[in-house]
Order: sequence, then structure tokens, then C-alpha cells
Amino acid sequence: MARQLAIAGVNVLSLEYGPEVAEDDLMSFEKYWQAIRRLGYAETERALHEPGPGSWKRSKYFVYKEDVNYTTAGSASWYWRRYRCVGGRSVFWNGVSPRFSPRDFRAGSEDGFGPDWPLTYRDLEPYYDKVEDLIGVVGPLDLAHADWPRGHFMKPQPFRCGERILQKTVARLGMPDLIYTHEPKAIITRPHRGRPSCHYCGECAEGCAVAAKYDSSRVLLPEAKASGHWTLRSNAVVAEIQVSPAAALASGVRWVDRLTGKSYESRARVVVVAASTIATARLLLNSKSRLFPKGIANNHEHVGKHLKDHITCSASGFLPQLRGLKPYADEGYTYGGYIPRFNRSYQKSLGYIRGFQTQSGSGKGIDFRARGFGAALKRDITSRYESFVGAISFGERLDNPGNYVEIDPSGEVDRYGIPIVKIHSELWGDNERKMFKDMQEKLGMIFRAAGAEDVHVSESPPNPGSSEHETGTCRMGTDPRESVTNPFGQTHEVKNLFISDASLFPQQTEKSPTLTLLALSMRNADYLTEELRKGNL
Amino acid sequence: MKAAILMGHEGSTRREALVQITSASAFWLTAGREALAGQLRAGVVSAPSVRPRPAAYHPIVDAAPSPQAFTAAEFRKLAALVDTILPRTETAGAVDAGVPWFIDQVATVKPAVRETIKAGVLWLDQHVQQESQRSFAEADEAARNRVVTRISDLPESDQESSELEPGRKLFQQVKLLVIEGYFQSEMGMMEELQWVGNQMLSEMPGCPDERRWVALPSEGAPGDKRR
Repeated sequence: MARQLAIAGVNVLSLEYGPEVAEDDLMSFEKYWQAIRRLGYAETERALHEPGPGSWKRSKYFVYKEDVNYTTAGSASWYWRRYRCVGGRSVFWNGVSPRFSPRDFRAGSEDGFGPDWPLTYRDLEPYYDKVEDLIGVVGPLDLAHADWPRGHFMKPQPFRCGERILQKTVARLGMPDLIYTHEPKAIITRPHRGRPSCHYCGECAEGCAVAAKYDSSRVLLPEAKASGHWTLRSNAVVAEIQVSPAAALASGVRWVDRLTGKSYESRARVVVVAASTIATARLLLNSKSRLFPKGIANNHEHVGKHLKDHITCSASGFLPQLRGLKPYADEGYTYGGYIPRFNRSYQKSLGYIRGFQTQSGSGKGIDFRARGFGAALKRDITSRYESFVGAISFGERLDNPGNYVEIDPSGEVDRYGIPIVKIHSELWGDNERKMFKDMQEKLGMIFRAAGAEDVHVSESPPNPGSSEHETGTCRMGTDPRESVTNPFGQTHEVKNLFISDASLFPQQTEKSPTLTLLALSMRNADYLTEELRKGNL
Repeated sequence: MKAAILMGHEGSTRREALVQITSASAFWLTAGREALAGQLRAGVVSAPSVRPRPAAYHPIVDAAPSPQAFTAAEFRKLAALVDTILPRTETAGAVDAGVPWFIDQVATVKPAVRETIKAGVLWLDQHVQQESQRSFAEADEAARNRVVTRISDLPESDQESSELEPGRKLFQQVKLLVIEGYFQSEMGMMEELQWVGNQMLSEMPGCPDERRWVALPSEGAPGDKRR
């Protein structure tokens, strides 16, 4: 959004909670034996397991609950994974970038659950094209699938041995729509717009210092900066959106310098909030005024509601066919395989709606379940080192009245004096339960058919939130009583307040959200620029 | 160090990049040798590691002057068990790779791990003494193997009071930490697993030989002539 506006000549001030990422802080190549010396065992482990970032390499930009608290309620304890830095999660994401399919935009009217998107695939298609051309996305060049439109793909990396075995396995299963193909990822395999090609080091999610993986701070923001219309203020914690008492308009924001604690106010003609699903809702809910006693743009009480994410199920195993394969530099970009949604032909008989997609890869793995001890154990683990296969399915979690965000009624504030959120969530409803069982069965079926050993399939889903795909707290729509913004991210109640993140999604779909959120932001930026030009804002 | 490697990727040839990675390893090579020497000087590791060994790579953690979570006697028994679970073969063993010291660090942070190991090594001694009159740390390889075989991969017992319970728990806990520590040490990764990663490549190598490796179960094992 910032890049689009700035290159269109609009003066933009970006306020970012965290610091700029220093290249030397991206510890992509540090191994465990080095980390444990640098940080000590306790700190290394803290980063590795929930509620940590999953890797010590990212801990500098990760926000632990002790640092800035949030509370949870409901049968499942929501896990809110937060990174605070310029570029945010895009620095540490995996890059999975499928387009939504035309049917995803009208899922509500197809199965009767929830609203349709207030726009169609055709509306967004030109923006998908533009975003893919801009950031670079690899994917299957020969894709033809009912649930996944082909994008402007670059050539993907070749499959590893295990991925090829899974591809053959899946083809032989012969189910309708079931294919194992190349994962769509925002990674470039040839030089593109001044960025070098991927160097296949396998550390995508630890931050890609050369920006071969898309990362907003290294790919888009330099262009914003070059435009001469963009100013960045990092370490700026936005506390509230201010309202001009004369009209229902946002006048600017109040923010706190994270390092000095000093408060500032910035005025603007338009305020755009893109703080990520939960933080965006928190900011709106915390922006109370006489005109908006329940929070700005919340007179119909949809801000913070409709919180959704993905329910995940993972599987891992070792392929005996690959025993003895000599280790080679197959790190590549992580997870090269992808199984798009394939349940439409049979799911009715299982009594659930919506779908799941599966991301999969193969390569190196240590078998912690290997039997025995002594020299035989050592040989066994080593001979299977290059035979690991894994997969993780992401399923759509339906809107549930039990899943929402509110300002914690206890009145607790964070260290900047800003009220914290309480995240309400339920582990699953009947639909998720049935879908999860199907995910378990299908992953098990594929791994068994491939001949995998020591197969482990998740017994229950991890806590909601851990997919890091949360959406929906400021959903868009055409009816102001049923949604927070119009189809261009402009709030119904405050015409100069825009939302530009995944909180806009009215339905989750099973697909990873980032590419769609980028396309949506680009479309909304075009609309905003046009409205400014017409003098409507 | 990392910035230099990345520059190698962007601005010069892959070969230069690799040379820089190699010189980074040379640092660990020296450090590894010193660490092992320290471990030997400390004299708390079991017999197999006392044999001098040229240390090519770094252990998982360096030896400390003395264990933090265990007594010297407990630590000797723990090291002997670690050695039994993952011995030195033609490559470094878990004791070479500093795994007992790694477990000492884990047990310092996690009281439950420490208690399981303390109770477990006591149990080991009692059981090995029944047959060989020696403590587990001093028993010969065959005697150690016999005891460890009894507690290896036992299913979780129904009754906490099972006679083997402290041994079962000990084995399960220590084996997990041995695998974790050894295969994440530089010695384990470079020498045993022959890891070749973190390279800067201009092309991703796909499966090296699909005809040999890519087979489905009913197509027979790789290289199987019946195919």
C-alpha cells in the first residue's frame, strides 16, 4: 500500500512498531551448535518451542507474551505469533503464494455459509498478475486445476527425490483433482528487478538477506523510498486513531516512541491501518471517541469479530527407498511440493464444507523414533538422513461466534500504556472436526502408499493462531451493517480511514493469504489514489 | 562472517564463496580441538573418550570444569550410558561430541530431566552390579549392553512401580537427548551425517538419479531387478 501510494505521488508517512532489520541480525546460517554457544541452551530452547518464534534465528524480532501481553479465553488458547520489525512477518514467512480460485470468492453462496467476497476473481485478476510480475513467484508452469488458477510463474526448482516419489504416489492414487505439483512461492529463480536469484540455501523462513524471497522491507519499500514521497518512522507504536470532532473523519494518530516512551501526534488526510489482523482490530477498538464510543468504525460492532485462521495437520515419515542416498546440497527453498484442494468430489459424504491444501517437501531428517541403541542405531539414523518426507495441510476454519478479539475488560495496559487484547477462540466446531479427520486420513493414505516408515500424523490440531494465517477482524462487504469496510478497504463509517491487511477477508479459504492480501492492497491503493485525485478525500 | 559469504555469492564466483565457508569451518576446527582437550583434562568422561582422537569438528558444547546438574560419579555413569547408546565407530561418538556436557546443560535448566537421570543412573548401577560387581561406568561393554538392552525402547509401563521403570525412563530421556545433541553437533553433522549444506548454488540439484531412487513400493526396492 505504502509503495503504491508513494509511487503514485502521494506523500506517505509509515509508522512501524519495530526497528529496521539489520542484515547482520539475520542468522540464517547459524547452526544449533553455534547458537547454543552464543545464546546458551535455555535461550536457544526458548526460541525453538511455543510460545517462541520456532527458531533462535528470528528471536531478536519476535515479541514474547511477557514482553507485550495479551490474554486468551475460550476452549482453545489462541497463540498470537508476533514479529515487530519493518517488513513484519514478510521477513520470516515461507513465501507460499497461491491465487484464490473464482469459486473461493463465492463460497458463501455455494454452500450457504457466511458472506461472499464483495468482489470477484475477475476484479482481482489484473492485480494478481501485477503483484506476481512485481515480486516474482515460482510455480508449476503446466498447472491446470479447478481450484487453483495459474499465475505468472517463474520456473520452479526441480523436485527432490522424496518429492518425486510423492508425486508418483499421488498420481497413482488417481483421485479426481488430486495432484502433487510445485509449490507456488514468492521466490525468484532468476534475477528480477535488481534482486539476485535464489541461492538454494534452505533458510527461507529465517530471513533472506539477498531478498530472493519476497520480503516487503527489501522488495517494495526501497521503491517507495526512491519515489521521494515516503517517510519511515520505525519504533513508533501507534496507540490510537484520532477523530476530528467536527466530522466523522480521522484526523491522524497518536503514537509512542518505543525507545524513549515519548508521545507524538501525526496529522493526515487519510489513515491506512495495516497492522495485521489482531493488532488492527486492537487499534480500532482502542480508538474511542464521542462519535465512536465502541471504537472507530465500530458502530455496528463487527470490528474484532469473525476472527479465523487455518486448522493444520502435519505428517512426517522416512522413505525406505531412499535409504543410503548420499547427502547432497538439496536444501533448496523449503518445501517444493504442493497438493491443491481435492476434496470437492467426496466431501459431501463426510458431511463437511470447504477444503484444505497441503504443502509438502522432502530431504534431510533425523529419525527420533529410530529403535535400539549402539552402532546399529547410529547407522540406521545416518542411512535415513536423506529420506525424510513431510507434509502439512491447511484447512479453512469457519467463522465461529466464539472466535473474536476484544479489549481486555481487566483494563490491563502494555508498557506503552495501551490497553491489551483478549483473544477468544474455540479449538474447533463440528466442521473442523470432520475436516481434520479427513486431513489425517488423506495424509496417512498418501504416506502409506508411498511406502513411508515411522509415519507420524498429528493426533489433534495445534492451538488456533499457530498457522499464522489469521484473518477477518475488519471484514469487507457491501452492507455497512454487516461489514467494517467497503470492497476497497475504506471503512463504511469513516471515509478517510482504510484497512489494508488480512483483517479484510470475509472468508478464509484454505489458501495461504499473503498473495491475495498484496493484490487487494494494490487494488485498494488504486482506488484510494483515485479518490484523492477526485477530491473525495 | 556471514556478510562475507553473502558478498561472495553476489559479487564473485561460487568457488570464492565456498572458500569463505571453508575458512569459517577452520575456526570451529581449532575451537573443537581445544574443547576436547579440556574435556579430557577434566577427567570426568568415561573410558572410550580417554583415547586421544584428532578432533576435526566442534562438539555440541564445550566441557565445563565440572558438571552443574550432577555429581562427578553420576556424570561418569551418564557419560557411559551416552557412549553405549551412540558409541564411537569409524566416526566420532556421542561422548566425543560433548553430549554428556550438553545433557548437563539441559538438566540444569529442566529439573524433571535431572531427576529422571539421577534416579536412573542409580538404578543402572544396582542392575549392573548384580551381574558384574562393578558400577555401570566401570563395567565392560558386554555388561553395559546387557543392562541397556533390558530398558531399550520399552513401552510405557502400566504400573509406576514396575521394577524397570526408572531404567525405562532413563533410557527414553537420555536417548532422545543423545540424538538431539549428537546429530546437531558439528562432529555429528559433518563427520557422521556428512552434511554438505549452506552452500550457495546457482542451480538447485534435483534428485541425483531418479531411475535409481524414485520407486513406489510395488515397483520393488530401488535397484531391484524384478522391476
